[in-house]
This record gives sequence, C-alpha cells and structure tokens, in this order.
Amino acid sequence: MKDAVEIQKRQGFILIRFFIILVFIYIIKLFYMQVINYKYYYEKAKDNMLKTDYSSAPRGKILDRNNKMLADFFLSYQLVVIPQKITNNPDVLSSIAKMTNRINLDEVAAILNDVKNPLNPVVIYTFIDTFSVKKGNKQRDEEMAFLHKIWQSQNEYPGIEIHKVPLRSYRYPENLCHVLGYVGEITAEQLIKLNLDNPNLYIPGDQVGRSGIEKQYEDKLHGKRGRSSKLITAKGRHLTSETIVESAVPGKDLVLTIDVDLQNAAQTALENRFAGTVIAMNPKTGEILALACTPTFNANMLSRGVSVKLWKAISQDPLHPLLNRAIQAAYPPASTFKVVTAGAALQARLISPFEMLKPCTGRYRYGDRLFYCWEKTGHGGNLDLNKGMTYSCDIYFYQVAERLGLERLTEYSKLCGFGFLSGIDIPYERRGLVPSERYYNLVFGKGNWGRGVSLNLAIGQGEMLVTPIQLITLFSGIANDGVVVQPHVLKEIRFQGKLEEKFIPKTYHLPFSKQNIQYIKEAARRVIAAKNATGKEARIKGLETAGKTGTAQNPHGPNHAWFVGFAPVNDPEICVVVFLEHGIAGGTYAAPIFRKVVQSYFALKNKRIKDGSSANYLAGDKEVQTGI
Amino acid sequence: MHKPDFILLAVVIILFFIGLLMIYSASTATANYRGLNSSKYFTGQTIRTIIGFIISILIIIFMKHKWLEKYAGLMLVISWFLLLLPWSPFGVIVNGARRWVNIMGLQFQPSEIARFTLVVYIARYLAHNKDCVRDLKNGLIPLLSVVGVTTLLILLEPDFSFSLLVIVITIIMLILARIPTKYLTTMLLIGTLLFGILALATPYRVERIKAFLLNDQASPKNRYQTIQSLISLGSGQITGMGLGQSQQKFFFLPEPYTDFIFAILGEETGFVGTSIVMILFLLLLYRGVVIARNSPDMFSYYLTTGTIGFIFVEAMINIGVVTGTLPVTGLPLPFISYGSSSQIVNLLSMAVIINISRHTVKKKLSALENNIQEPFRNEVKINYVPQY
Repeated sequence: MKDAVEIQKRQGFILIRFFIILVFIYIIKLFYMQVINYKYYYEKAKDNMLKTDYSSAPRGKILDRNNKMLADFFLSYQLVVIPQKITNNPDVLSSIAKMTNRINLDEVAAILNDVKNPLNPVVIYTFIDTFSVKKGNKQRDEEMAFLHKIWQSQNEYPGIEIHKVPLRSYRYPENLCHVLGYVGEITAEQLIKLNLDNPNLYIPGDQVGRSGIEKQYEDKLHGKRGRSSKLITAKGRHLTSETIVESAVPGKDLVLTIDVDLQNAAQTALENRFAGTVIAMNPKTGEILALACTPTFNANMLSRGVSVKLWKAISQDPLHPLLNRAIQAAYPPASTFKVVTAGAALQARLISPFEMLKPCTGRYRYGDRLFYCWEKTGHGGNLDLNKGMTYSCDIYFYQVAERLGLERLTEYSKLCGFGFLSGIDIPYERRGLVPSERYYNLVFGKGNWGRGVSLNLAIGQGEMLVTPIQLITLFSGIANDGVVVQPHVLKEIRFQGKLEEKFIPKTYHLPFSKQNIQYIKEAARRVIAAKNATGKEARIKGLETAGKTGTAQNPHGPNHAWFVGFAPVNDPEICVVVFLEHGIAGGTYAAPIFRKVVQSYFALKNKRIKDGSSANYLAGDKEVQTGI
Repeated sequence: MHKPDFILLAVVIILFFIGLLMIYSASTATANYRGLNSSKYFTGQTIRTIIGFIISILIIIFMKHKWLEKYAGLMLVISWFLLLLPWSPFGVIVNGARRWVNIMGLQFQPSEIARFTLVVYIARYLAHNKDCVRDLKNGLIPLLSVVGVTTLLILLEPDFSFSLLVIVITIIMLILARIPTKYLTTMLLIGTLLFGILALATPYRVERIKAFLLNDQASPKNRYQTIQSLISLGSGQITGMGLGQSQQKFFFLPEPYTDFIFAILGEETGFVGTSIVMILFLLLLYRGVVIARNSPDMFSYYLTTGTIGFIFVEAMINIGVVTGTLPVTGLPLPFISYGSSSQIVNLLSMAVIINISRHTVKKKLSALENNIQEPFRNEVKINYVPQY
C-alpha cells in the first residue's frame, strides 16, 4: 500500500518534469528552425512574396536551306487560373465549367492541388488553333463563343485570366514530322530537370520538344520568358512598386539542311504503299537534303495536346508512325553490304578486282552446308568483282567471305560505321548490330555455331542489322572518295536574323584506299548501267549513277527492299538510300524511288540555277575539312 | 498576509506587453483589408487589458479566495446557463459555431467563463472530499458527471479542442489529487476512445490529422497553415526581421494575430523572442508550483494548479501547432493572442492566483515531498490561534 502512495505522489512531479522537458523540446525545435535551418524557410518566404507575371517568348523558327518556313508559331489563347484567388471563390470554377463541357473539374482540382506557389498562374485549358481551323468548324465556334463570354465578363470571375501564348505550328505537319519531331506540354519531371541550372527557364504549360530537331535543339529553340516580379500580399495587392524585370528573349532560329521541295518529292515518291524511308544526302558536306518516312503522323495535332483516343490510335498503329525508320529501325543490309565485303577483300589483298572466281551454279558448298545464290539457276560462267556486283551474285561473295573470315569481315564493317551511331543530330538513333565472334558465342554458345555465318554475313543476311542512315553514310563515303562526313540536319543557327553558329560536321576515312574505292565505284556504276543489271530500274538518261540493290530475306513476311546509290558518279552531289519494309525486291520497288528522287533533285537544281539561287546547293562544299 | 508574488505578476505583465506589441504589428494588415482603422484590434485589446488590470488590482487587494470556494457550485450552474445562451437569440454564429454571446453590445465566450468556474468547482470538490478520488461511486462519478456536462455543453458549440483542453486539465487535477493508477488509466482509455471517435467523425478534423501525420505527402492545401507558420518562424532567424517587419502577416499566414501570433513573433523577433516567451511560460509554471506548494489550504492548492496548468497546457498546445509539432487546432496563445473573453478570464484568474500568493505559508521543499496534505495542518493551526 505504501508503494502505491509513493507512485501517486510522484505523479505530480512526473507531470512537472514532463512540462519542463516539453518546453525544452520546443526551444530545441525553434533553435533548429530559426538558427540552423532558417535558409530553407527564408527562401520560401521570398517565394511567398513575389508574384511573377510572365510574358511569353516564342519558340525559335525552323527554316529549310532555302529559307522556306518549316515551323513557326501562332498565337493561341489559354484559360489560366490564379490558385490563390480561386480558393477564396470556389464557385467561380464550377460556373466556368458550366459554360463549356471541355473543362473537367476533377482534373483542374488535381492540378490546383499540386500548386507550389498559389500566386502563379496555372494553365487549365488551351483553346483550339483559331487561325488554322476555319470558321464554321463546330468546335471552333463553340470555343470562340466561350472565349468571348469570359472576356466580356472577366470581372465576374476573379482568378480566371485569358493569356495569349505563342504555340508551335508546322507548315508541313505530315511530310517533315520525323525530322522536326513535335512538341508537347512540359511534364513535371522535365520541369525539374530542365530548370536545374536556370530555375525560371520553364514554367508549367510551356512547350518542349518531344522528338526530332525540336528535342535535339531544345536549348536553342526555347525562348526565355520575360518576367516581372512584384512584392505583394497574399490577397494580391502590391506592397511596393519595386519590380524585377527581365525582358523576353525569343528562341533562336534554326536553318536546316533539308530542302523542303526535295523532301516533298521524296515523300511523294515513297507514297504510302510501304512503310519505309528515303534519305537524300550531299555526300561531300554530310547535309541531309531530305529525310522522308512513312507512315507519317500529323505533328500539329500531336503538339496541341492529344486526346487519349488519338494517342491510342497513333501509338498502337501496327505500322508505328512515330518510329523514325531512317535512324531508329535496323534491318539486315542485304546485298548492299556486298560493297563492304568487296572493299574489305580488296583492301586485305585477298582478291584482285579482275580475278575470276569459281563459276556460279546456284549453290555453293562450305563445309557440310550448302549455300544458295538468289538466282537459283546460277549466273553461269566465271565472275569478277564487277560482274559479281552487277548481278549481285551470292556465290561470288561466298568465296570472298571464305577468304576473309568472320573476324576480318566484322572488323571492316565496324570501320565502315556499322554498329556505331552515325552522329546525325536527331535524337534516339540506334546503333544496329555487327555480330562478332563474341556475339555468336554469347547467343549460340561456344562451338554451337559454324564458320558458315561469315558467308551469310558477307551477303548481308543473318544477324547483322544496320539503319538506313548508317548505310547512306557509308555510300556517301564511297561517293566522296573515302571521306565520310557526319550526316546532319542542322545547317546553322540564327538569332534575330544574324548568323550565330554553323554546324561543323566531323569526318573520318573509310578503311579502303582510293584505288579500291574506285574499283567499288566502278562496280556500283555497272550495277545500274550494265545490261540486265539488278539496278537497271534506277537508270537515268543523261546521268551517270551508281548504286546497289538489296533484298533482305525476312522470315516474318515479304522481303525488305533496299536501294542505295549516288549521282553523278564522277562528281557526286547526292546520295540516296531507299528502304521499304516488306518492299519485296530492291531492284523492282526501291530502285524506281531512287530514280525519282534523284531526278527531282536535278530538276530542282536546274530550276534554281535558272532562277539564280543555286548558291544554297553549293555553299559549304569548301568548308568541310577532309581529315584522314 | 504578505506581499504578492511579484515575479509572477511581472511575468504576466511582460507577456501581456509582448502580446499587445505583437497584436499591433500583426493585425494592422487585416484591419486595413477589412476597411477598419488599422489600430482597431490593438486599441480594443489595450482597453480590455487596462480594464482587466484595474479589476485585477482590486481582486489582488480585496478578494478572499474563500468567496470563490463558497460560491463555486452556484458559479458553475450560472456558467452552464451561459453556455446555453448561444442557442438563444443572443447567440452569435461565427463560421457555423455558436461560441459567442452578445448581450447589449457586450460580446463574450461562455466557454471561457465555464472553464474557470469548472476549475474552481473541481478545486473545491477535491479539497472538501478528501478521499473522493479513491471512491468511485460517491467521489469520482459525481465529479466526472459535472465535468462531463460542462464538456458536453462546450462540445455542442462545437469547440472540440477547447473541450479536450478542459478534460486534460481535469485529469491533471485528479493526478495531483492522487487518483489511483487504475482509475487514471481507465479514464485515459475511455477519454482517448471518445475523443478519437469524435475526431474521426468530422471530415475536416480527419484532414487536419492526416495532414499532420502524412507531413510532406499530404496535399499542400491541407498543410497550408502549418507550412506558412513554419515559413514565418524560420524566416525570423536568430534576431528576427524587426518589429513590424513581418511579411507573412500579409495574408500568407492565416490568423496572424490570434492562433498563429507566435509565428509572427518568431518572424519579427527571431529565436531570441520565441525562446524568451518559452522561458516566461516556464517561469509562470515554476511560480505557480511554488505558490501551490506553499498554498494556505487545499482549495487554493488545487485552484492554483488547475489555473496555471490550464494556461500552461493551452500555451504548449498553441506553440505545438505553430511549430508543426501538433495537428492544427483552434486554441489561442494565452496572454498574447488577440481575444476578448480569454484575455479577461486569463487576467482575472491570474489575479486570483496572485491574490492567493499573498496568503502563502513558507514551507521547506521536503514538506511537499513528505506530506502533500501539509496545508491542512496550517488550517488547523490557524483555527487554534487565540482570539483577542
């Protein structure tokens, strides 16, 4: 009983001790907040006080090599909410939402819930492009009526504002979608990432590049918003007239190497019969003149906020319209690879260009395996390099590959740029695959694969994968007597009309001597010019062209078709690659497209010479430094 | 009879002075915004404080605490009646709560009066029924029903945090009356359960508790008050931004001159100011304990501990809310926050304590430890003083 009394007596003291400890806990907490960690709160307090008004800066324009407008901007309207004002009048939002069915209150509430500084405006709705959508469109008329209604009675809706913003607009939304890419509203993660160095560069609602040139040169294209910050109270009244002003700086303009007329011609030549790609390039300067891909998408529609339905339709399309096949899709190079095989053998002095190899009977025995020529009946007679290329005889190249061996073959293809990025300035490029001995060991296991794989590789079948841009880079190197110039889409950057920066491409030399390249060139010329040659469909009257066909065997469906070539042979100006997914045969389907593109190139060139504006085609020729 | 406890008196005066200063700084923006004279709140508070001090002086000099003891029951019944007034035509509804009564221009909060009379009543009850805390049927249950009725009336207003505070003070007083541990634990359990259910039954309280527990994950909207309060405190740094220089009072911080005045204090006077106020409250507690220890009888012992305890706990809860240690409640900071009824009642109850301090009997520290019932012996002695 006595113990119980003792305990009870102590309760009072425990209570007092508890209170004293509590006071000291508070003092320690206050010490931490006010003396140690004050900076954190101090910064936040500053944020509280500053109301920032942003004036928008338009994104830089994108022009083609002849100064034709590819992408500029239009002024659009955005419905904007100032969260602080809305919290005092929650009815405003619902009455706005009543006027139109385009605003989802739940979504808006979710956006407003995440707001950091309740004084800064939040975009809740972007109006339709009232400039490109004509009058009479039902949605446009509804929106304009809604817009005017808010405009007229803005005083009734405190906290709601209408801002005029410049939004991206593409002149050729379908034809250039894969080069220019598209823009989209900045995501929360991007906002953090892009604002790391410069905290006020982007604000929610800004447009950022999502793919293509728009993404690659985001830092150049993005303008700097003008800001004026005022010290104010939470209810929005100004405390002082002191302001911090930064004027708006528009984004830099990009001039591309693309010739939009040629691009349109290439797109027309491609049609929409196949999923495929055409790249046209100046082999001497590395300038991409045209880069067309099918199927296309509408970059304007994607940039202005996609509905879930449209996005589903685009992203789940079995033909993958968003895929830039020129740089992102890798395929077996097929017979076009024979150029590398031949070059490697010549360079290694394993064959001479005039050496006759064993005749083609349609089949070739290597070890205990039989390898076939695509011409089942055989080409008959002994073939030298020129004939082997002209008829794309597989048997000839099996023999070459046997001399070369796997290691040398893969080494040379790597030196030709396969398995590496071509360096084109469009994001998300793929490397393709050059299978080495190590690769086969990994995939099949040591000893589970035969040396015969090199025979398959020599004719471009098998595991080797290359992208169209890699192939055209190689061929432009051949056309340019061994000097490969980095392919690029950007020509120069201009700021307010003045040249600011020029793209200077890197160069490297193919692993073939000049003499050997001459042999390959001659063979490639014959591929088109010779009688009954595989590339005869690419023949153009009055113009010497060189090239190589390719038909990639495809176990999943019709064969893929390749054609890659350049013209004129003596002084190459244009190098073109055509790739058709499931294009059946390179000589039949891809070669005519090559012809059409080359023809329209020279037609355009002649027309421009006539008009006296050819300078754009020749400019830059001398500036490229030819390194080793 | 001797001199009153001047230290306690000084603490109270300093706290009031700080309060008036802070109210002047924190309320001007709001007064301006509401189209009032910018010093309206300050003037009102000053006048009330001065009137309160005059009455306090009268209390300190002339009052006998026996009077309170005598009329404790009557006063409690009157305050129950006052607690019902908000439902009459005199009631004033603010933000959906019936906490105010307006009789002929005189506005007051009945709950503030009730909390004082309740403490007086509990003190009398505990002093008069010596072993009541050990007797469940005849001691504890009648007392707890009285407390329950008062709390219920306050709860109905509704004023959740205030009724919770009343319960906490009752428990503290019972602990001092040496309530057996088993009764204490049962009471705590039942109380936690009841108030837990009540808290969870109202959505906005759940939101506040959620915002408190989830901390950073909670939506900023629900944490707005706490965030702004921490910003105010933190931006004060060591010595503060200077009196009147608070920026948060410009409507970033809600209730800058009532519930969150401590945050403005922190912003304008920094860690120096906040720790001084903390130490003043600690000093208040210490002087209260000294007076209680030396109190002339059991009634004044319980009255002192109850009153000081109430003010101290209320202050601690308020500072806990402001520093983000506790979920948001609506309790003011005693002496410092703006508020008519709480201000007057705090002042008058402190006057009663100081009055008691004039009658204290000096005891050794060991006296309290050895026998908590020492005051009774004093009473006995006084009774045997021969009359001349």
